[in-house]
Amino acid sequence: MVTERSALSRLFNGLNVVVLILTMLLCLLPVWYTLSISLSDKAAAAAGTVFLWPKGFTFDSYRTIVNDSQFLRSFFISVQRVAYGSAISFFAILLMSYPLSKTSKEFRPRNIIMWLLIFVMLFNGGLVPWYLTMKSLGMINSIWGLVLGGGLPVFNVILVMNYIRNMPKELEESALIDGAGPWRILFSILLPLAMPVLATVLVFTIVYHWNEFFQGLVLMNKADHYPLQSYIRQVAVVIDPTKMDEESVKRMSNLSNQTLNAAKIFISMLPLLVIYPFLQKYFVKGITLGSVKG
Amino acid sequence: MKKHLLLLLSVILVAMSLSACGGGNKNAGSNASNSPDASGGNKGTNTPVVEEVVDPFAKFDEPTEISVGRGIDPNYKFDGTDTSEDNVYTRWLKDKYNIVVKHAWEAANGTDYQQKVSLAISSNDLPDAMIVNETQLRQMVKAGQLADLKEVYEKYASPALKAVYDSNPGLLDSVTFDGKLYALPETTLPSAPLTWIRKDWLDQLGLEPPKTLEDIEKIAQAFIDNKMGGENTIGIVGTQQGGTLYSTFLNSTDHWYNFSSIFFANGAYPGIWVKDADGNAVYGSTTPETKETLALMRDWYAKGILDKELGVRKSTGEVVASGQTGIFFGPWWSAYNNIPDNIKNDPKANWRAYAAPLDASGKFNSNSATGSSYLVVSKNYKHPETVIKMTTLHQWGKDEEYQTLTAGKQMTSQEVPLFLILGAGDQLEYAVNSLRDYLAGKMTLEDFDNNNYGWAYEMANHALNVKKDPMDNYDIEYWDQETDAGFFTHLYAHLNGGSAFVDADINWVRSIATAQTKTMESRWTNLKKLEDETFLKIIMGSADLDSFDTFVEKWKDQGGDKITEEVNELK
Amino acid sequence: MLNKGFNKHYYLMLLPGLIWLFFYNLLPMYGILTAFKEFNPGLGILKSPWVGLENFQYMFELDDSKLIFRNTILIAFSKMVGNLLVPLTFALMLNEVKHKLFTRTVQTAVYLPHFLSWVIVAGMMLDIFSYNGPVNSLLEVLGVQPMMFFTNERLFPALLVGSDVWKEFGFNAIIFFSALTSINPEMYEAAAIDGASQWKRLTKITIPSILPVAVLLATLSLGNILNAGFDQIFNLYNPSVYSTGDIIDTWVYRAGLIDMQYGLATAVGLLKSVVGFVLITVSYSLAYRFANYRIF
Repeated sequence: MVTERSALSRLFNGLNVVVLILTMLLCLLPVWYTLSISLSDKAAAAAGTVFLWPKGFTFDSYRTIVNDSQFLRSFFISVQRVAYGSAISFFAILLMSYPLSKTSKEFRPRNIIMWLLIFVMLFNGGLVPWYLTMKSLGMINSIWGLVLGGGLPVFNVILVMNYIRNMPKELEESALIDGAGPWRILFSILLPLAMPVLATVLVFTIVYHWNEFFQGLVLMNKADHYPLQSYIRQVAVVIDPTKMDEESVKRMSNLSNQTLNAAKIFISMLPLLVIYPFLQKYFVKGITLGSVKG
Repeated sequence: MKKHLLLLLSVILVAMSLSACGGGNKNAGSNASNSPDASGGNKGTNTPVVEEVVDPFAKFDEPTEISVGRGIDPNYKFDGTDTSEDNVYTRWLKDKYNIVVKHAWEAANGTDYQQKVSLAISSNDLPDAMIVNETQLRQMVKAGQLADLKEVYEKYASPALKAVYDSNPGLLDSVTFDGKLYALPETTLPSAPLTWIRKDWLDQLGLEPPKTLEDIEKIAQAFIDNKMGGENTIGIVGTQQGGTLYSTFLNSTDHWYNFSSIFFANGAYPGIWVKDADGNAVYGSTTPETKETLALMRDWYAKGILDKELGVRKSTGEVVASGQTGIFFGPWWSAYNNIPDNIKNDPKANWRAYAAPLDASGKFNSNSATGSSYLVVSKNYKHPETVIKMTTLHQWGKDEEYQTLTAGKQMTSQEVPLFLILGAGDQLEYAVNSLRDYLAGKMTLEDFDNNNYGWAYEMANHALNVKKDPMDNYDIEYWDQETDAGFFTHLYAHLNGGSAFVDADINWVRSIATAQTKTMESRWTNLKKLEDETFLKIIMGSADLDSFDTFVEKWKDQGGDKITEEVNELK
Repeated sequence: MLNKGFNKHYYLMLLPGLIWLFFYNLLPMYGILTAFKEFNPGLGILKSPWVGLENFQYMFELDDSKLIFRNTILIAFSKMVGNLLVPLTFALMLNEVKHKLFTRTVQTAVYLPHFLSWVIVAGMMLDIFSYNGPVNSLLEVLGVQPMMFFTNERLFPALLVGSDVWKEFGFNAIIFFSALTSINPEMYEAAAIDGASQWKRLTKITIPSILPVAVLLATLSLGNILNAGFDQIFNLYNPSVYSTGDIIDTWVYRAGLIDMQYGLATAVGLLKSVVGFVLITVSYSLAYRFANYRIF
């Protein structure tokens, strides 16, 4: 009986690992493909002969991108945006989640505010009024427009709130008995325990701020103020045919859009790929969601 | 979007020629470089001077500011620290004419620019002037956002500018609403789709260039059967993802990489309004000729002659560049795109343009394209005359001082704010004919009309660097691609594609409607969707040929009849 | 536990978030009025004339409306289910592997596609599923005629859902990972001592522990029932698959491109929001009434 079961178990585990490895490869291939294209010679890329290995290896595309002073400026703006944006979101979310995790008996307006958040999550006024609001708030050409423009990340508030709500009440009670106030409870007891969910939310925020390009295009009146994704996008955007000149013709024929685009995509996801493994350890470390009352 | 790339390149070159060498049409010629003082240029005009005529070349008494929304090319390299807002050209405008150009905003040409314009319009947060498309123009007229330019145009436009618009009849009328002139429209050149074929493949197989649709079918089949482009040779390529099967009255893409040619050869004009036998307006997509063409294309698709990935292909250009195909349809300037890439990969690739296929009576049909860019001015702007003046100066204000400042460098839309393409219709014809005469030794460089056709002159200067004997054979082996690579493409496009177009005897068919009517505003999206969906399905065989008849009925029911009535009133 | 003295601190904690919410989320909400107006940019939203429900009426008059709504719901719902089940299954599978380095490598890898924009993913898909592409070559070996995947009305929705799940499952699984790792290991130890099998441990401990998170995510995603994924479809579709692939957002985009019909667009958007709101409210009360579980 016992051996049979463990044989079955071993078979399952073996299969499981194989499936997981296949899944992993399925996800990695396109990225590898992108990298191969970006390092390939334009003719080879255009002919569609590149798949798993670059053909006519060259760094030309990367050289083109990095030689642009605008690239570095936009890169810095994006870094700034991610830094401010995640710091502000982090604290706003943390601070809001705690009172909202109380029941409406403990904190009366809790339910009203929750419904307000749900409302805001689902409804929006459209681009034009948003733009006009941002303009009257002085957010045009400002880094703060990028940082705050997306509004309160309601979804993340709800996630963290739920997490905190499901933590053991005893933790808070014993702290209260020790005479701790709400701020100390939040920062020295709940904060460390909520790290897994906060790290998750932090990744969401970083990814959002890093990848978002539309607000950059709308709020910024000059490319000088663009965040990286807006910049990269506009370089790739096709040139207006009616305003074409000799130079553009030459440039276009010298550089395949395909290899250049691939390089841009690769560069723009690189920072996230570098950051992610560091944050990942928080997920693995997790502690308390388990005491969810079933 | 890619389809639009390089579209109307011809016109740009034409405009460049005008801007580079001053001297517009006839009487304005004396404004050009010889005149020591630009304002003095006007003295040369022969037109009798009407009282109180304002000198279009005069300097403003005090600095006049204008804020513009500007489309930029992020890849453009300026000299030194110049930018699109502060460069040789804008400084010249400022110092010499007291016109100070400020950017309200700038965005990359293409989607980004269009988005910015739409946002500016709908939030009523307008710059003083910008370039918009047809839809945006109509929206702005409806919203009452635009300045009436009639008065300032009459007063400030130079005779040369007026001459250009006069030589394009109906152009200003199309932007006049209730007697008010709301925009300066761009001019365009007519363009017909030619059949582009790999002549080296024809020669290899001992085939003749095509005349009829049957010829094209045979050639395509031969290319496929003999695997001319490798294992996966594609017969005829065309419409790519997001593209259209044919150019329409609202969306003229100069028929680049689509199938207009096949329709035209059947006497079908889908996408535009034509006259039926009784002289009434009828929408070309609903005619029996269109159905016939669809039947033919369906047959070709099933046989594998048309690209199997028609309509979903990411980039038709890539197929051409990689040498997988030997036939496509496109305007004369198609040689600027993808073909050079193909030649680079395969130096023997000999793409030639033919005025084919002809219809049953041997005529070569085409519809004529409409322009799509408009220079508009906000009604809140205090000095609308600035815009007229800038347009005039851009085309005809180049004096000696200007030439010195720019050191002969051609100013593009990146330097020149509110760049508008303006030209009389015969630029391409002149360039092609004079270049041919020049190469044949029938004409010398001195014979060129450098004032009016500067671009042709410029190309002639480089012609001998790139063309090899025999001078009247444009096959690829008779070109020198290396010595003067930049001009190779220009001359190659003009002589190869350009001569085929200029020599063709084209039966032009114009659309009765060139803009949306009232009912179209609410119904057109729907009707066009119905049309696109039905046609594509018929061609690919996922719908019966008879679904065409259902389409026509539905189309009429859902607003088509009403729209046709409205178009009938336009006649 | 009641502690009235804390309330003013709670308000203080809420303040930064609420200020943010007020200026950046609530203020622009007046734009919703556009749905009931004939928008004239020259007059602005507030001064544009009222037209009552005309925009909505027009929306329902449109021949395509039913089709578009049906397509949207069908695609969005399938994606929702896929994006819940696949990440959940994946997280559970990975949870069974105890080799730390392995799990971490796999996790990092599956997370990748999320970063790719739809433009590039769509491009690659069109390549891979093209007439001469690898998928058709494979089918040919198996004796199946090559076909055009992306002009096939029946296959198109499946391709949409499949590619969306492929792109997002790793990312969506993060929350499940985080929930799984927080299950008290003592529970497993106790179960092991009791001699519970691997399957038993999975069904009796792991799945019940992770269920609340799954329910929460499912509920929150209900609000997206009318979001079928504009970016994706816009980059993949073509007229021959309109009948199954055209969704509200793409339709409105095309309408907007031809003439800027903001009233119509806002009306459609508003309807989407209302439907989402109703669904969330319903599921909230269902979960509360029957499972005594509060979603938020």
